[in-house]
Amino acid sequence: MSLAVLVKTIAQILQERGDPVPRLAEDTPLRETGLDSLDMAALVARLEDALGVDPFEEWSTADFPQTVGELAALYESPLGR
Amino acid sequence: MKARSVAEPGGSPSAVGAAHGLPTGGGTAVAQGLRACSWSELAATAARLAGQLAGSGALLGVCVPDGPFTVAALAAARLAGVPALLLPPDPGSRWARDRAREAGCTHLTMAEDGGGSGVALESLGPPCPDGVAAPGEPGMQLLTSGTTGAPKTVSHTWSRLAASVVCRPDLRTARWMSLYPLTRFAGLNTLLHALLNETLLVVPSALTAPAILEDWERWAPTHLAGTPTLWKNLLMALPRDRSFTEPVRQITLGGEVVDQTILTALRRTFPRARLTHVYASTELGVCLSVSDGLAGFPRAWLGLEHRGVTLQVHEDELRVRRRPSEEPAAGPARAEWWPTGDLVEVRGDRVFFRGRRSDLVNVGGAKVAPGDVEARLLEVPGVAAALVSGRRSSLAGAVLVAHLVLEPGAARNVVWKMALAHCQRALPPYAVPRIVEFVRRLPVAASGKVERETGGRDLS
Repeated sequence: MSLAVLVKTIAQILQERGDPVPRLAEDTPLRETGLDSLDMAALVARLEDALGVDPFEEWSTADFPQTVGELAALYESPLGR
Repeated sequence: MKARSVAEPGGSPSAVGAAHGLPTGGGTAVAQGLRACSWSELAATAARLAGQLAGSGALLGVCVPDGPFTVAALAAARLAGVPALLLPPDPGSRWARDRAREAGCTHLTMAEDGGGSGVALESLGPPCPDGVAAPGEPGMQLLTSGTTGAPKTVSHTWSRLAASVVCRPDLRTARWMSLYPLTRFAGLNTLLHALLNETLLVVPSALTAPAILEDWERWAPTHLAGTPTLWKNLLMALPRDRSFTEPVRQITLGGEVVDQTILTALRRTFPRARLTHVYASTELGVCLSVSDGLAGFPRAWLGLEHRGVTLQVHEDELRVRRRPSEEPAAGPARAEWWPTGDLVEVRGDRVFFRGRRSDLVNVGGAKVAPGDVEARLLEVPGVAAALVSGRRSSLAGAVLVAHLVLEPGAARNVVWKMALAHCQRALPPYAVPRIVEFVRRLPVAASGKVERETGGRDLS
């Protein structure tokens, strides 16, 4: 998945409720995107609908992605899981 | 059934009918599509089946498509003095035979040629040893909805079923239409109202809005009963300028939470109809009925015994106690409080239904009643119907999805933005739906209730 798809989906969630969309780049921390933990869950669900994959399904690494780029990377390769 | 004078037995079908509580004559008893089944036809079929049901200890399984044959088969069981088990018509003959044998049925009525032409009686042989033969007074056995696990069998005696049927002179001119499957308690109740008041029962060919409206137009029912979900779908399918030649006198709702939105919409469309919310279950029978046009029921009813039924709120759940003499044979243990599984909220002088305890969704550890969220969504202008379900989430256990049916002309993004803002004001964060799906109509299960499992996924 390209970074662009992730950025677009995040922006979509914010726009739907009329929240301002901050600048979203690869190094933007996820906590500064304006999404709460349930938004994150919804984001992952939406991406699963769009891409057919949920990297958190069998996700076992200790570190939760911290930035937009790290989250996108989880979708890039099956090894990222 | 209603007591009637006993006529000479034998001979003509009408004599048999009269002897056992069926009216006679050429008037229409059951209507379905273009088919009008007269009382004499019904009595003849019932007599034929009853004749074949000889032998003591019989239990008749009834597995026919909803329609005249359902009534004929029940009348036959009544005529032969044997209990009947009502099975849902659709799953196929193999399923019906297995289920009937399991339940101890000795005979099974099934439609010939998949439904249209006639009804046949099949002998299943002696009941299997594990079969649950019904002792005591013959009556009806129904399967519970079985929303969780395998459906259970619940018995009702004829006298008890008849006791919950209102027979009044003005009801003799009524025409009933059941928007419930006849094999459910609510559908059977409607059937019995028509039968015992000796008036027409209209059974739609299918429980879909187009089929219902077709038979509505053709047979002009005056008394209609269905779930709120079905009523919402119907109202949306009704042309705006629709006028009914025969005014609707009674609309009965039940089987699900009856919210103010549907009551108000029905009041607007049918200003002269009495709106009644019946709260009943297959196990407990009718527990309460409210006709003041408002959602919920008066708080003052809590703790008061009415027709043998007492209601109580215990840990947000409605509990019911039925006086022993009023209990169905296989119902809850005698005179004990029975947890209904229905969540309620006492607000002011009213008790409101919130939905099933089993429908609670666990969102990140917090329990949400979808009904609470649906009620908020329905307050948003442009929302015609709403269903909230939990979608499994790898991160939060579940996230809430709102399935919305919009009113004509409403814009998706505008309505959703308003809905989110409204929910954020009115609900805790975990109860705010995070995903929306727009659907044309809400998914309806065979029971007429909204299908929470499907969540409208295939309907957009």
